[in-house]
Amino acid sequence: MSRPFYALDKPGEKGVVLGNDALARGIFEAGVIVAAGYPGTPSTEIMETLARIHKFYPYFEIEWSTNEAVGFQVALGASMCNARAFACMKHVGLNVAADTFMTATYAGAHGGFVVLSADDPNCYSSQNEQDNRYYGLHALCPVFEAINIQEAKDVIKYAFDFSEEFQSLVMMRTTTRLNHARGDLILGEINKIEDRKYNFDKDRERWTFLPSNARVQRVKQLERYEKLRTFSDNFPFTKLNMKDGAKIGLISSGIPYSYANDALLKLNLTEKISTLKLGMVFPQPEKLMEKLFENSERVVIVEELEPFLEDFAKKLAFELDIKLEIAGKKYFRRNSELNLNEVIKGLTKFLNISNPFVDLPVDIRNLHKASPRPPVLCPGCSHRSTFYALKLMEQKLGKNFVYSSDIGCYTLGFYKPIEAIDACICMGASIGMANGISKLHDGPVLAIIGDSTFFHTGIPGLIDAVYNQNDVFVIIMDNSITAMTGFQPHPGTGVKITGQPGTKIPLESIIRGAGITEDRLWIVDSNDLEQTTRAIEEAISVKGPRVLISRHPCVLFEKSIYRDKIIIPVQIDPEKCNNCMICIKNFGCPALTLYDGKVTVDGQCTGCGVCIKICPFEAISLKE
Amino acid sequence: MGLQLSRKTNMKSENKFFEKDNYNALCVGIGGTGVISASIILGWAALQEGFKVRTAETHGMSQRGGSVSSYLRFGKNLESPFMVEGDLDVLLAFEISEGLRSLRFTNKNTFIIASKNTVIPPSVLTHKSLKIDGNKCVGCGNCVAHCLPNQIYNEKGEKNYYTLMKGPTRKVINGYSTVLESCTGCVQCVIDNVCPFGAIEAFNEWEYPDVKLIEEDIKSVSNNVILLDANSIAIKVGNILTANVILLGILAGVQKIPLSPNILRETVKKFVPKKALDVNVKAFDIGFDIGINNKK
Repeated sequence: MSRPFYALDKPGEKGVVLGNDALARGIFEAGVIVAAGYPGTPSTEIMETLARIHKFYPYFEIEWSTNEAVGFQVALGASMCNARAFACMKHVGLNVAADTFMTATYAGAHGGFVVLSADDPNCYSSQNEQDNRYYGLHALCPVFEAINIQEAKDVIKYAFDFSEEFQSLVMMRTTTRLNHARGDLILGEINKIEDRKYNFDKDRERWTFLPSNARVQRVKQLERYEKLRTFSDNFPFTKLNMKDGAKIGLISSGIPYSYANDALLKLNLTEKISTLKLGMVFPQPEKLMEKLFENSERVVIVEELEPFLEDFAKKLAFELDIKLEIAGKKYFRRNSELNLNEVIKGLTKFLNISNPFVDLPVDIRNLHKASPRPPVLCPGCSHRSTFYALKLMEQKLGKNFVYSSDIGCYTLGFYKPIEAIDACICMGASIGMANGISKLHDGPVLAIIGDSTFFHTGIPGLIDAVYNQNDVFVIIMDNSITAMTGFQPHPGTGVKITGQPGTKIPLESIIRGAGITEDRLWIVDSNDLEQTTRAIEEAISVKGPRVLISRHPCVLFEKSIYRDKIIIPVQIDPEKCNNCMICIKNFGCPALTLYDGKVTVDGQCTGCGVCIKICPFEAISLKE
Repeated sequence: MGLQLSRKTNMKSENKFFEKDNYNALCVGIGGTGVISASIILGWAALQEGFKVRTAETHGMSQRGGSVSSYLRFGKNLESPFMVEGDLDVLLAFEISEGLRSLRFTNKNTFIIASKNTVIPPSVLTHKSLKIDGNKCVGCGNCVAHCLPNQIYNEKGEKNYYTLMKGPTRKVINGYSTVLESCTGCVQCVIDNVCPFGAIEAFNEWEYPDVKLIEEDIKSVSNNVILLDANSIAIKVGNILTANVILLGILAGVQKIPLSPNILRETVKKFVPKKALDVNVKAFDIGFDIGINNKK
C-alpha cells in the first residue's frame, strides 16, 4: 500500500491537500492518542484520514462513536488519563455533546483536549447554520480558527500544546469552506510523546460534579478564563498589521479573512487599511484591539453568520471609552456564507467607494438558463422502494400518513416524486416528534429513521414509545451503513473505523430489548415490494408502538465494495411500453429516462428490478 | 507523441509570458465524472510550478447526478479560495449546461473548453406539464377519456396492484377540461392530437436548453472557446472516464495558464488509477494535440 502524502514522515515536504486532511495531519503531528467522533458533513474526512494514517502508525486509538456526546466523552476520558485527545463533530453535533461540554470546561483538560466543530454556513448539508463560536463564549472555552490549509494544520497542532499549558479544553472551529477546500501544505514534524504515563488522574474533586465540587470548579474556570484573556494578545496566529497613517481598521478571522485579504488586494487598499487577523476568536485580544481602535476612526469587522466579534468590539470600545465607528453586519450579510464578491461589495459600501466589480464583464442576462439539478435518491436506492410502498399503501388503504423523519439520505424523500417527508428537525427527533404527534393526530403516524441515526439518538425515542404506549409506527430505513456522509460503519455493521472487526449489534436485538414484541416487529427486504407492502398493511392495521425494519444495503456502497459484480440492467419492451410515464413520474428512478420521446433505461441502472413490478403494462423486465 | 511532447517543453513553463500574479480556473460538471480530480491535478501541477494553491468546491447533496463546481486559484499572492465573478482565466466544462451555468465567472478572454455532452436532470422529465386554453376548450371530455394514466387510475390497481397513481390526471370541471397534479406529463394527448379544438399545449416547467443554443451562448461570451464531444473521444480512446483528462490535455496544448504540459502530464500519471494509466496518457496526448491545433 502506497503511503498517502499526509501520512509521510517527511517534514518540509509540500503537497496539495483537503482542509480535513490537513486538520487530520495536524492532530496526528501533535501526537493524538485517542480520537473519537461521529460522521457529519463537513467534518467526516478528518476521522477517515486519521484512520488512514492509523494504518501506518497504529499506536493511537481511533473510533467512530455512537454519537457526538459519546465521542466527546471518550475523548474527555482519555484527557483524564493525561492523553492527547480529539473529538470530531459537525456544528450540530456539538449540540448533542453540549451537556458534557458545558461542564467539562469547568474541569478543563488534563491531557491536551481539542474538540473540532465544523460549522456549515449556507446549510450546504445541514439543518441549520448555527454559529458555534457562541459555544466558546457560553462555556468559556477558547475557540481557534484558521485562514487557510497550512494554518489549519498548524493551529490544530498548536491547540494541543495550548490545551495542556492552560489545562483548558480548546474548540477548533472550522467552516465548510475550510474543511472542503484544498490548498498547499508543508508537512511538519511528528511529535514523539514517549515517556508519558497514561493513567487515570485520580483528582476526584476535579472530575466529580457534585454541587460542592462544581462551585469550586466554577471559580477555577473563571481564573483560567482570565489567563486566556490576557494570553489572547500573544496568540501566535493572531496578527495585528498596522499601516502608517491608516485611519481605517479591519478585523477578521478564518476563511472570511482570506476574502478580506484578497478584497484589499483587488481594491489596491492593502497599504491604506490596518488589519487584525484573529487566530483565537474567543477570548478576543483586547490589547491589540485597543491599539487598532486608538489609531482608527472607523473599524469594519468581516465575519460570517452572527456579529460575534462585532458585538465584542463594540462592548470593548465602550468600556475603553474610545470614540470610533465600528461596523460589521450593516455591510455584510448575516445568513449564508460570504465570498470574495460579497466581501468586496460590503467593503466598498463601508468605504463609500464605487465597486469596480459590480458589473460582470460579460452580459449574461439574455443567455439561456441551465435547468436546476435538485438532489434525488440514487438510481437503485432501496429507500425509493420503501417510500413507494408507503405511498402505494396510503392509496390502497385510503389513509394519509404523517411522516416524521430524521437526518439521512431518506430525507430526500421530501422532494418530487416521493413527497413523503412532513417533518425533519435533527438527528434522532423523528420518533420523539412522532410520539407527540400521535397523542393528538387522527391517523397513522410514522417515524422514518435510518440505521445509523437510530443508533445515534433514536433509541430513547423508541423506548419512550413503548413505555408510554404511543401509537407510533417506526420505520427503520436500514441500508446497513452511514450512507449520506459517505459510507461510515456503525454498531450495526460490526466493522470499526480502522476496518477491523468490532462486535455487531443487530438492530432487531435493540428493538426487542426496547420492549417491541415479535407481533409488533416486521423485517423486510425493501426491494421486495410484495413483502414490504404487506408488512405496512399489517402494521397500519394494529395500534401501539410497532417497528418495521426495511432493509437493503446501500446500492452505492455495495457497488464500491463489489466493483466487479456483474449488473444486469432492466430493459423496456417497446411493444408493451405505452410511454405513459407512470414509472418516471411516480417512481422517479433516475435510470429511467426519456430518449427520443421513448421511456428508456440508461447506463445508471443497477438492476434492482423494483420498477419491473410497477409498470401497468409489464413492459419492464430483467435483461437475460 | 510523448517524446515529442517532452522535447518541446521539457522544463517549467515559460513564465515570462505570464505576467499576472494569480490565475483562476473553474472545473464544472456532474458528480462522479472527474471534475474534482481534474481540479486536484491542476492544483498539484501549480504547486510544482511554485505557486500557492487554493481550491473550493460546491456541490449538491446527492452522491451523483448533481452539479459540481471546483474553483481553483493559484499564484504568488492570494488567500481566498474563490475568485471574483468575471475574473476567470480558464473554464473547463465537462457537461455543457454546467458550462452555461458558470458563465457569470467568465470574461471575453476566458479560455473555455467545454464538452458537448449532456446530462439531462430527471427533474426536467418530471416537470413536463400541459396547458389548456380556456377559450378553445368546450369540455367535451375527449382528452379525459383518452388519457392512459387516468384510465389506470380509474382501474384502481386492477391491472397491476403495484402501479401507483396518486389521483385522476384530469377532469372536466365547470365545463372545462382541467389538468390535475397527477398528470404524468407524458403529453400523449398532444402527440396524438386528441383535442378537436387544439386547446391542449405541452410545456416544460424546467427546460434543458437545446445544445446548439447553449453552444451559441458560450461562444457569445468569450473569444476563446473550444467545444468538442469529449465523451465520444474518450470512448474511442477506450474509457469514458478519461474525458476529464482529454480536457486537461487540451489545456496543456493551448498554454493559456502557466502550467507546463510536461508537469501536467506527469501529474495526470500520478493521479489516475494504475490500471487506467495508459488509456489516460493516450487521452491526455490526444487532448494535447487538439490544444496545439487550437493555439491562437
